[in-house]
Amino acid sequence: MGFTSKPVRVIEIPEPASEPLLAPEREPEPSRREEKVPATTPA
Amino acid sequence: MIPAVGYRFWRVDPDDAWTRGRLQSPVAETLWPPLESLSAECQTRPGLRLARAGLHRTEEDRVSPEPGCSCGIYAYHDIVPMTRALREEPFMFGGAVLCWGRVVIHPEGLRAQHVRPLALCRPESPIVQQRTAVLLDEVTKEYAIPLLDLKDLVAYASEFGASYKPEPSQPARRGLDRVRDALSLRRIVRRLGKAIGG
Repeated sequence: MGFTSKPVRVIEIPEPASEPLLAPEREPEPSRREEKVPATTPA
Repeated sequence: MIPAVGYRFWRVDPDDAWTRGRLQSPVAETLWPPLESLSAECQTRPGLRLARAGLHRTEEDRVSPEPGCSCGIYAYHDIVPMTRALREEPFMFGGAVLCWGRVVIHPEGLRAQHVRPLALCRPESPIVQQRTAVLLDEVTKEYAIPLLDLKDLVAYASEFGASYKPEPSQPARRGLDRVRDALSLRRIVRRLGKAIGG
């Protein structure tokens, strides 16, 4: 790999924001417990 | 300024136990570290064909790539020269890279200071695909990058950065501009002459 032409310009590019290469493993969120409905007694 | 996207090729030697599964630069024989970026180092030395003004690596204030040297990590602006090179040698694989730091732009490609692979390209030939399937699976897992069809490579890479391909020079247009400039200069002289002469 090589270029035969002369360079046309030189630039400085800042380092890209680091991003994870692999998606982080996440534990499944605990499902909401069903709240117990107090048994109502008819008045 | 967003990172530059380029296209290049690597050699992956299936018979070399030491380098197997690793991307290797075909000219400098540098092994690319998985999950990291590769940083350029000037390796030019006297007598090396590619060394032009080179030998700046001993100068601490200079970084690679140097515009007057041939050092840096190479990539093309387009996929066409990359695919051309792939047809010439077996176990040569193409892909997209992301480049940043100092970047020297040439009409056909760029030389960068820091580069990391973005994706590998699935070989076009079904026979080559079959022969290299296991090897490419190893490589893409090692580098945590996808293996894409050639038609999807550019779209995928452009999600990460941009092309810094320079606009092509237009000699015909420049010639026209020169004629236009000359005509307008003549017009100015004529008007000046009229103004001075009455």
